[in-house]
This record gives sequence, structure tokens and C-alpha cells, in this order.
Amino acid sequence: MQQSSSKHDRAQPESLEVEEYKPSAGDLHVTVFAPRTPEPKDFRWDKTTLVGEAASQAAIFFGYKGGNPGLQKGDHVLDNKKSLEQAGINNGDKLELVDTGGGV
Amino acid sequence: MLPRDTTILVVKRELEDARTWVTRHGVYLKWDPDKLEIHVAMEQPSTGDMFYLLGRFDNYREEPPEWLFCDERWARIVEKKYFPQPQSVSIGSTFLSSGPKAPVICAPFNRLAYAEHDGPHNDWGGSAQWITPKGNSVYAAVIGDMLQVIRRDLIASKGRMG
Repeated sequence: MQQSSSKHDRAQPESLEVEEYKPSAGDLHVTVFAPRTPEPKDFRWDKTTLVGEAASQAAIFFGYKGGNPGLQKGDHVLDNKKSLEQAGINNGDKLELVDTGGGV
Repeated sequence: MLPRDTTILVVKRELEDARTWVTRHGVYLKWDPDKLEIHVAMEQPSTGDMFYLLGRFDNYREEPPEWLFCDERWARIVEKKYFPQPQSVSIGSTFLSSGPKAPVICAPFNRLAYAEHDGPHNDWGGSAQWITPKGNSVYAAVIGDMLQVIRRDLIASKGRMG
């Protein structure tokens, strides 16, 4: 019979180790620029996070109040209703905050 | 009317904050504090044409700036041939409008969009209320954000209105 090695077993004082944090497969590490701020900010989101949700979090960090935050990759404005994965976001991407509101 | 020196200080600070954006996008930008004007040149990707944007900032931030597309000398001449032709966009609706009277950047951050300045909108509470978000309308409260969304709609455009 194979012996199991539970987390509880590993947590004994004589074998205690702090594992290095490794992002799960769903983690995306991206850099976001805001047109109103010189310095960008790094964010880590799950790939299932909706673009609009990620944009809102970034907008709050950069001090935006109100509006319709979205994200832009290159010259392409992403669909707020898609997940970051569906929108084609990859680790290391550089994104930009952009308002997605309309006019006229 | 805000003191001229106050406006100059505010615009200088906002332009300093937007410098990374200007560099990242290769946009030409010149600030003329004597005229309280910003001159911007941006390329329309679909055609390679240059478009020239004039921003006028008297009384900013009591009122929004005046934004319009103009000729390559940044003369204040409002004509359709200087405005990019909007295309259907994947997000929301464009704010580039041929307007009932003249073409206009029809957004709350543009003074020329308000009825009191001969624009089409009498439903946004007047230009003094420009800083208040208006539902699904595009929102930009500082110069960097304004340039970003104007460029957003320029990228989605093709050719000229006239």
C-alpha cells in the first residue's frame, strides 16, 4: 500500500519548509499603463477574470472615479464581457486603460 | 473665469503626467502657454494620414477644453475634411460626429459639444458640469485620458468625413 504524505505531515517542525510561490496555471501577470499616470503598475489576475472586472480594479488603483473602464492591447480595445484568456491576454502583456463609453 | 496662470499650471501638470502616454504612442504634442493651446498630430492607421487636433484651454478646469480636428497649421477652422470618418466600432459608439451644424468631437470633455457653445448637447447639464460622469457616455477627466479616447476613435476611423 502506498503511503500518503499529507500537508499535515509536512508541517511537522523538523520538516517545515516555505514553498516558493508559484502562480497557478490561471494566473496572468500583466503590466497596465494609464494615460494619466507616468508609471505603469503590474497586476496579477486569473485568466478567467473578465476584462471589465480587471479594468475596473486597475482604474481604481490609478484613481479613476466613474466612467466605463476598459483595457486596450496595442491598438485593440478588448471586449469587457470576455475573460482575459478569451481576449487573448498572455503573461507579460502590456495593456492600457481606456474608457469604453460612447458618444453622440 | 479662472486666472490664466492657474490654467497654465494645471495644464503643465497634466501634460507632465501624460508624458509616458505621448511617448508610448509616438504622438506629436506641443503646448503653447501664450495661446493656451495644445497642438497634437496623430496618424490614422487605416490610411496613414495625419490628423491634427487642436485643444484650447482657457478657463480649464472650470470648463472642459475645446477640442477639434483642424488643418496642419492648427488654425481654428471647423471643416469635415479635417475630421476622421467614424466606422462601426466593437465597443460602444464613436463620439466622432458630423453634427447637426458642424463636425464635432461629441463627448462631455469637449466644450464644443455643449449647446451653450453652439454644440448639439443641451442634456448634459451645461459645460460647467463636464466633470460629472454621464452614464454610458465616454468619460475623460484629465488631458491624458482625453487624448487616449480621441486616439481610440481615430484608430477605429477610416478616411475623412468630407
